[in-house]
Amino acid sequence: MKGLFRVERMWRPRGELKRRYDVVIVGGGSHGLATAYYLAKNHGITDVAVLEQSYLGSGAAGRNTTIIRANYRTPEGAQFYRRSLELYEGLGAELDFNLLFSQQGHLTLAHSDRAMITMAERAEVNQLLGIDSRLVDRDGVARLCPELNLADEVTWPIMGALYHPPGGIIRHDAVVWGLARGADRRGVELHPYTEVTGIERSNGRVTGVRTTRGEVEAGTVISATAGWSTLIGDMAGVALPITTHILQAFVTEPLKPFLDVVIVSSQMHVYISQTDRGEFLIGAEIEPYTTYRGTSTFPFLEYSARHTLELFPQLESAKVLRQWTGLCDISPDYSPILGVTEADGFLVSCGWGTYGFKAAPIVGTTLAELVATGKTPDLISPFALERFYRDSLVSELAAAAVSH
Amino acid sequence: MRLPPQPNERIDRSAELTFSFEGKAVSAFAGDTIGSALYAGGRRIFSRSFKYHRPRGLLCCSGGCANCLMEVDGVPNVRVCVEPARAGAQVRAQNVRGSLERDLLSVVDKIGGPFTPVGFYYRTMIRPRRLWPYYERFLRSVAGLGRLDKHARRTNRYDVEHRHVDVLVVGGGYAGVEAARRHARAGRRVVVVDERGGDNPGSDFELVAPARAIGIYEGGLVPVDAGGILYRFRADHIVLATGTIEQPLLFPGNDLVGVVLPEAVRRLVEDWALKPGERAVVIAADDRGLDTTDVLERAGAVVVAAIDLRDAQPTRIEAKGRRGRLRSVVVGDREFACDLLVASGTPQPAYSLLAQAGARVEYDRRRGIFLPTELPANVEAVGSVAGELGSAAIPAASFDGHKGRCFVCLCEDVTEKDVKRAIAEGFDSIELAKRYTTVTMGPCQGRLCHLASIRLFAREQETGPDSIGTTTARPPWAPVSLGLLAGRGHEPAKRTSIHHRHEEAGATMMWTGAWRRPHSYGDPAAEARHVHEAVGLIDVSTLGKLLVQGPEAAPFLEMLYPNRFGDMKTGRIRYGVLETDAGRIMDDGTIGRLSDDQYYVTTTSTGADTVIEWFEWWNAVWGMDVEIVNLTGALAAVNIAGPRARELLARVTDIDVSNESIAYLDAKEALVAGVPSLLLRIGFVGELGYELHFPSPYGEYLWDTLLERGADLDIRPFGLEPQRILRLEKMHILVGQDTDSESNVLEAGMPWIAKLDKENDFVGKWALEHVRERGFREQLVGFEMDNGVVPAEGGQIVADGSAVGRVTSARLSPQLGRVIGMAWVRSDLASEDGELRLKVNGNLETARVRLKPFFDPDGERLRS
Amino acid sequence: MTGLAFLSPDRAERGRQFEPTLASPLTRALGGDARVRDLSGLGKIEVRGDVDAIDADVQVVRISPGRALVLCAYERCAELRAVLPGTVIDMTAALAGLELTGERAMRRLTDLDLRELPAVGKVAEVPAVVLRDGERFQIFFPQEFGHYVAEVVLDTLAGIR
Repeated sequence: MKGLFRVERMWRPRGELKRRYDVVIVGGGSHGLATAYYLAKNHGITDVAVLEQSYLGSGAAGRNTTIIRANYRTPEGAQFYRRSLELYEGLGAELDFNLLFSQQGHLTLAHSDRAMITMAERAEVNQLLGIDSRLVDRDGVARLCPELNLADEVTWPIMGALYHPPGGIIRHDAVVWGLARGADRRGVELHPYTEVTGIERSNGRVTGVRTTRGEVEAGTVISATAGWSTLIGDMAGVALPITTHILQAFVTEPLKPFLDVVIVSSQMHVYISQTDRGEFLIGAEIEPYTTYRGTSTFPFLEYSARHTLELFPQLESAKVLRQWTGLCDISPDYSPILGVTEADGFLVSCGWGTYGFKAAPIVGTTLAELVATGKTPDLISPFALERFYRDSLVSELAAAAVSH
Repeated sequence: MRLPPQPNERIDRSAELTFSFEGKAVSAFAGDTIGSALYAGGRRIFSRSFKYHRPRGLLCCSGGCANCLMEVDGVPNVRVCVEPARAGAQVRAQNVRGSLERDLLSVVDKIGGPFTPVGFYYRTMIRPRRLWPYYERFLRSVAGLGRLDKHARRTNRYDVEHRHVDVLVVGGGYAGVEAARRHARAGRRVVVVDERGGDNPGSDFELVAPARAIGIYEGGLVPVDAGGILYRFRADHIVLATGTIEQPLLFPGNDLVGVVLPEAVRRLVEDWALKPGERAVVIAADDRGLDTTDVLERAGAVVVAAIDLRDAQPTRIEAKGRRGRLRSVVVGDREFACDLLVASGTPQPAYSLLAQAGARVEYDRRRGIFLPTELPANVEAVGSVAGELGSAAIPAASFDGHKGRCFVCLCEDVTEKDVKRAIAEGFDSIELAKRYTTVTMGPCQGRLCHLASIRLFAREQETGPDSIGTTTARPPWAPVSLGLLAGRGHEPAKRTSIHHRHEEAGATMMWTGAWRRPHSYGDPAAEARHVHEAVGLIDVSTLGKLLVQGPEAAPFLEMLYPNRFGDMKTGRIRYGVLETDAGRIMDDGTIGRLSDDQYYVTTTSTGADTVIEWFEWWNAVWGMDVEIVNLTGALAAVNIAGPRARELLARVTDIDVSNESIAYLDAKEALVAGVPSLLLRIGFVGELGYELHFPSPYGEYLWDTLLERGADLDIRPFGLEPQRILRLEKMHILVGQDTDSESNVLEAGMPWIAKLDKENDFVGKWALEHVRERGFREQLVGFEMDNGVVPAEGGQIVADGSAVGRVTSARLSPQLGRVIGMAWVRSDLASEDGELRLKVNGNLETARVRLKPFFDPDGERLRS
Repeated sequence: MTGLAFLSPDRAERGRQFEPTLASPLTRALGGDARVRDLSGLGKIEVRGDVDAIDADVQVVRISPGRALVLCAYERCAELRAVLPGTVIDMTAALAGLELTGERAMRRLTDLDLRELPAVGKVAEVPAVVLRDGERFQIFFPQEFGHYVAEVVLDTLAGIR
């Protein structure tokens, strides 16, 4: 409570760039900041600079739809995100910053028997790993979310859902700021408005970065740049099997509490939650075309509204206040690419698609451990870039033709 | 009380109507808004603020701010100042506990204020964690403005209309109309969109009003909200005449009821003949603001002071009030008792649509506002939005006072102190400060606080607003309802030409992709058994059907599929599995050779579109002499299957149907019941069967004819579910169910498909070679349960507590009386009779691996 | 090559105990509504190749530089299949068609520029060929969407006040 009255700086004002850092992290989003934070906290590595081309949290970290969950399809993915969820649960207290983590539960709706099979599979995979995740039938859905339109005469009647009680939503900016403050207090330097324009390599090893504010040498360079990953990878001479797509979202005007569970429908390409501020936060699937241009589209509003009203006709008069777009780095198997690359001293966190924000704390801890020990932690070894050369993918896709 | 009739008033005093506010009758004239009628009835407090629950009154009176949000007929967050008064409407206050006059939650303002500084929720309620859900519930309950009816259903009809015009003018003010006429004179078709409308000013252009442009999107799309209709305009040329937005001044007490913007005064007096106050003070930065002095005096109010900020900027401005209502204004060292304060700064051009269209927006130091520059081609800005403004002062970023809160953002209750605090805490870029304080993120979308917050921010940072930059102008430009955006909500559905026969027969319909298909006709088990025992009829029109023809048709298919096709005789059929370029299973189907250079390819029902695109893409890449024709919809298809299928077929065709003439996997053209058909003898369901492909308009005719001619053979239709049982008995895979995005044909148990020794390369070949080299990791196998439990599809197969496989299909086979299924298992478990442990409802059950089809393993019935 | 007889409804043979009858996918949805004319029974023939060489007294809709849709009376299908140049594919069975009157209704059904018809685009979100004759519009689209399109058309007409 005392912190409430005292005006304390969250982080030091941006200083000059040093000539050299042990670790340079490209990207001041949730992954970059988490990695910096855990480097300092868990391993005492504090000679770290986080370089961000814009303001902290300006990319995917500040544009995602803030859903946290662990009910993934593959055992590799599920145990990874389970650990992330656990870290998130304790992160607010650890950072002494309320992240407004609302573990209200998460319902992934099934509108076909094929989808029910996928949900059943996920529930079973999850349960074997101790993740609270279960299949519920239509009555179960009605109990968990009586506001949902469960009528049969809609286009895609709801048959059941995958229910994930610990899932929920969090305040994304708070995660960014809490991690930034935590890193800064431990000595990490934050450098917003510092764009990386090139990466130095010598003898197959990355040795530093060029920025809009000068050159910096680095023992290790970590790219945590989501939609821009392929561009940073190119600078380091590392080809990444990633395409960048846009993902769109919108919020409505704030309304009194109506919905207290996160609703996802893959069939209808829509997910819906209500924030603590009362806004409905509605997102869609990634757009099918690749682009770096974050322009919002009108058809997105139209089809999202149409599908939202199929689920919640009560929202007919709710008004859209603003829409925005983020960039997503999509990998071929919808699983991340994490850790070492063929360029020594160059690590990546990318290929997150729409799941990146959920993984921030676990990415931070595992990448920090990798930097500190030089060994890839078991939890992330399935996600190595090398898997594409070994053709040993970790598919979060249920079927070739069905995205999710 | 109304003023005497005003020259251009919008009310019709001869037409009275009544609506209710909080259950009490309110009378209004036609032409009133709900807001003006309430004002006429003496109401001054229209809402309570978002965070502190402070009383708020009419401010902009133009539908721009959040001060008059109410619930109208169950619809929350309605801006009543512009909402037409309707007889019988039910209007209620929102976001209050109690009434607008006595809101219990205003305690937050009185005593909670110091405890709720900006971002307070980030710093409190962190420990103990277990209490957070309770805090959160409280936090949520006080957040939010209006309330949704949980039981509401869709009530309004919204249509969408596409419009193509030569010129679209947004804004029907003087400059907009002028521009419209100019373009009309040049012979162009012009449409003007205006928020208020009024009289159609002639025939030289079309006026769409009242209507609001929602935004400008890619391709020049301008969606327009016209109430019940969403117009999607595309224009060769767009004229923006959106005018300016009046800006409040920042001073302590600037949110008191009675502090208004100039436009509110004009509308109250001129449109609705209402007197905005008795004693007024006017403080303005330009003539437009100061001109309200005349308006007020004409309305009989006393203007006790009119301060022109161009003359001198007072050192101090402070509004004082009681119970949230204005009592006096201190300007410099003078205090004026008053009940109305008209206060406005430099009007800000309403540039959002221009910014969305791609214009640059820059701060103009000389004028203290943001101005659009570098307009894209085909976009024109006219009038005040383009910067055609009279002389105006740049008011101080905020004026000091002794006491009272100075609000930067009224929607979100963000004060000057909050912004200063945010900067001191390190939120020192405008975007960060915006996110932290939530300034500009409320229902006014920054109309009244964007400029003010940036100027304040610049002052505190001791830099110019031009170096701060601006925040992104995110669409929509005006809040727009989901109902309007959703439109009629039609979802395209495909139906086969036999669809209605299924419905008439009482089938349960289900989706297969965009297709509607019969799940069953009531008894899937009986329908399946019937196919084994007599003859069944299933509609398979949904199968994808392609004609691949041309001199290079054979090599084309050989490069697409791992199979071999060049050696196939005319009139023969082969099962093929398509691979992705990563060697994963993409789709499956049959390929029949109709002639030397013609192949008839079927795909799965849901895969058809993808496969056609795939074929066309590769054809473009390879540039081969091949033509691809999509025949999916042109042809209906039915499968006659069962031991009596041949007998039935013989009754409806003249050709020889003997096993010698039409053998298993033969294709033949024939007249069936007089209909030209392609006959494919294949056996997806494991019995003697013929697929008939024929022109879709004969769907019902042939369906009826087959049922009629087969009646004495006891023919019976069967649906998708019985078909699934039947194919499972044969271990025929369903792509997308038994396979996922990682499956390949080798591990899926179909090595004979992949002709890795083919002389040509084929799509995905490298990956299959790789699989062969590395060895199998997992395999798709059949299994049979030891007991009668049916495991869930998607269920896990477990060994030593961890997953070693998963069930993809499982059914009770009515024919075999056993529970059978398919599963992916670790390859060391894939041996005949091997034991599998399946998790079923939390228990572990035993199953045995089966590598050969459960039914008719040698295919004798298929070939019979 | 085979003649692909199974694509052509007019190759059905009547008599000898069978009376093949054609049905339109629109019939049930339209329910005899007089505002919409069912054109599904027209002959529709796709020509691929040198579409400029089409020399017949029929309506030709250019779909792309190398593709055209020929619209004709059902009875003329056989004759035209024989004389049309290039690759000729009988699409009579593939496409449903309807005619309605009024620009307003059309504006609600399609985002095509109605000043620039005929054109290929989407009607009711379904791929379609649209032709115009004054205030009358003809729409041809995949027959499997027939029932759906007919429903949307009637719903659209109901919304015009």
